[in-house]
Amino acid sequence: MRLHKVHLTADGSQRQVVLQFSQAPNAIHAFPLSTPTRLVIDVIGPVLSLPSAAYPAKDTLLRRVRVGTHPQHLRFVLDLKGEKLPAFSVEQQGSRVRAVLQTPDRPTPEVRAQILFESPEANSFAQPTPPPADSGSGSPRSAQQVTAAPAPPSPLAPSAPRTEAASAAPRSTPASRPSPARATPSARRPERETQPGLFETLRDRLDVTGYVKNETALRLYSPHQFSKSQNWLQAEIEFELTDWAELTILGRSMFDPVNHLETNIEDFHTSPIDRLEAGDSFQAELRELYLDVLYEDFDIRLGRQQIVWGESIGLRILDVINPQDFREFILNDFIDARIPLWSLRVDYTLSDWTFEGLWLPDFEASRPADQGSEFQFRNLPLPALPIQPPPPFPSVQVGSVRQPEDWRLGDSEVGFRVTRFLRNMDLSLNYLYAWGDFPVPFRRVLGPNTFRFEPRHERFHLIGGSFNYAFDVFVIRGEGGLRLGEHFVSGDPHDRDGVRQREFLSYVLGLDWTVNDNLMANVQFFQNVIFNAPGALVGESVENAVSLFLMSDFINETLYPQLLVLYGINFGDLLIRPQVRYDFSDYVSATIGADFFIGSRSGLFGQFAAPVRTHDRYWTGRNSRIFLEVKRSFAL
Amino acid sequence: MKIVWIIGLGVWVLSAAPPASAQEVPGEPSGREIAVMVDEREDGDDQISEAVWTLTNSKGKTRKRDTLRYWKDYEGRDGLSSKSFVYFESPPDVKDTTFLNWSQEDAEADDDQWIYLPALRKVRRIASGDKENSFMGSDIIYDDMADREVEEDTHKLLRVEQNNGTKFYVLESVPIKENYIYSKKLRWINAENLTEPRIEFYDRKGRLLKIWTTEWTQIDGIWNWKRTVVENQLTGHKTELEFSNVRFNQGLKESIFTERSLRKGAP
Repeated sequence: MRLHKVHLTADGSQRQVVLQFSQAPNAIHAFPLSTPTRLVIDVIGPVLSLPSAAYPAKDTLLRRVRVGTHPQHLRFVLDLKGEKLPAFSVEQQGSRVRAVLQTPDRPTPEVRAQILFESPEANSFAQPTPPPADSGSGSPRSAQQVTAAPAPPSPLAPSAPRTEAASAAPRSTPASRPSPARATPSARRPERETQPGLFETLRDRLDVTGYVKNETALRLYSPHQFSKSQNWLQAEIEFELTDWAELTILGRSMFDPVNHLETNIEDFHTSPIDRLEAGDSFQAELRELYLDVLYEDFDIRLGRQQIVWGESIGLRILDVINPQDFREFILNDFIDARIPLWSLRVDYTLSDWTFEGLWLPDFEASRPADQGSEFQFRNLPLPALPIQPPPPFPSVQVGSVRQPEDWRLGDSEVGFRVTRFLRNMDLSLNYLYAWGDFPVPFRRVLGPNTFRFEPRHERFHLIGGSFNYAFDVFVIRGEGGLRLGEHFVSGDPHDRDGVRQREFLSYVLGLDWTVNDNLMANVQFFQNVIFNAPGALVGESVENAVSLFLMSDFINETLYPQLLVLYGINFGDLLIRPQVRYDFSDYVSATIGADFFIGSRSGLFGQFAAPVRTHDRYWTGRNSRIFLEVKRSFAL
Repeated sequence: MKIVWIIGLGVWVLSAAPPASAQEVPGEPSGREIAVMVDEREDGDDQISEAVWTLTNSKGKTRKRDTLRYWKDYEGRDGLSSKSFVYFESPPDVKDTTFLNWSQEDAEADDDQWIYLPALRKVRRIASGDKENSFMGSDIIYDDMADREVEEDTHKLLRVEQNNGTKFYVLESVPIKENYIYSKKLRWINAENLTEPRIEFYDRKGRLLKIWTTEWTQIDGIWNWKRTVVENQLTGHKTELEFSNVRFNQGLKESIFTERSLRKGAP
């Protein structure tokens, strides 16, 4: 039995001294002595001779630990400061002996761990075998001897797995158990025998994952043609620069020989850095590029990224920080539809609170579907899109869109969120000072029969919050946001600039229900309210919608049927999205599904249900479709 | 449903029948005493472990999940028994998914649970009331992972067995709560170190549902799982867990078990 380590942890009024041995002692015996105050621990077992030694401690209670060899045991003496003996307990845990001292008289201001003694063998995970009978000379043992199989548990009586040594003293109760030792890396990790090479270092620090997939959709109504056949390659590279910094790069490319989702690929904001488009069918994009700096209580994410707020499924209420690509309406996943922005995000955690600050010097507008493409807006789903000119003005000019300057401090967007985890409940408060993602079509009268639209992006303040509350198999969710000074298009031809500012509330209330192991259901109610809306405003002053989402899994989470139904109450229109995914393996899956648009053409969803006169070869109306997605993931 | 309930009740009444004698096996501790000793077996103040989950269906097709888990004992502080954080490292489709559980000290209370889904980029609180839900499609359900109090079952020492020179207690633990997920568990407990190499789970109808076998290893003086196999006897599905890099008493910070950690991934 060799001594491997003597370890001290000081935490407030507690001290924990751990004696680590090469094998489990047969028994321990502990008793206090006074004048001077000390605690004696005899550790009984096959003793390997150890020179007498003293290991001083930097502590307000423990002066030092002394050790001496006796014929049948090792004796440890814990020399204590002061005359009063603290309450103590000593117990054996396999090959460890742990002494806990407790006194309010000599507290430490902070948790502190010290290794008072450590033998070279202690760095090995494996525990040594008991020494051979003739190895009692104290000479160093070979490495082979100390890396044998783990020692067997001590042959304790079944009813007494731990040896209580000081029955008169209070044993450390669970509530007062000392804090864990902060082990140094060298005390926990085995030493590398050789330095890793460059390739090995890169392999350890680099993580490459991604997928290739095909998404093909076929229109259900005439013309029965493919609306898309997108072939995606996406790769995400994570590079661990240091223990506290990581770089993430996410890029993707897409080739679509059908490409009826866009008619003008040049209309999207492109730049040499983040987007590349070639021909009518190919595009590549640097989606995300950010640096994470991770500290204990806070972290920073700097770069091109997506930032997501909110609780809702299917529609975005607080999730408005990133603009959205509407080329495929709202049918593609939000993670693919959000347009990442260059931004800074700082998170700080204090107990159960998380504080988040955002700064976005980059601006991009949402991208509506192209004129003449499959999902061109037939009516305007958002209030501030341009409208057709009123009848009294026969001559109309449309100016170019004015938008904020990138990287101009005064044009930056900022946001703040506080999140709190509570028992059964989470709360968040959100604030965002941002630019509208769609331009407001300000109107200017140039003459008795002429006026001009001068669209420009406008600021708004968003004050919002979210909550959830869990009970039994249910979770109630809600989120809402009040936009101050939102701009709406006026239908009044005599209005000075054709735009009015109003307060705008958007919120959702929902319920998750875990029906059983195979089925989860979610229902939601959405409402948009324009306060003090005069009749002249274009669009509904109150809009209501409900949703139903069913998600299930079968065959040990390999078959995933799901259904999403969105119903616009104002116009009685529907979007119904059934789909089934099957995982052939961890890396290969296939999804088959459909998107049905039903109802009035005035509704958000119904606009894609009605047949329309063909304006050009792509715009045909009645966009319901079936689709197939085949995906192969990879990890390098 | 009513028939199932009645059958379940019948099993319950049979299983909860009082022992023939006050001393279940002469010269041995009682079932409850053994259960208490197992419950008090040292498990460290906190733990970090890596695990490979291998899920095999009845046709032999396998899937794998690599996880990294952080666990911290709260011992009743803030009304909590423990907190755990699981990070999914692979396969790519679930990579960066994280799961956080705050286990309540009150056995009747539901745990607080959250999941971060990278496909949504959102942290979502999930209901934990249905503890029969499978974890990750495995044969382990959420209830299996929760801390179960000794008082939630009645324990009876059925017999003592010798296997390769090792003494085992065979314990029958029957839930006190009616219509609980399992009608009983049979537990083989190593008399020397109080580890449980084998547990049999019986469903509400009293059928053998799954067998849980575990190889144990001692790390830093604490006994811990090395390899676990859970076999569902009704479906033929099997879950294997292989543990590595297990470390105890690392002084894990509170900040690991927060909303921020869920979003940023492994600490």
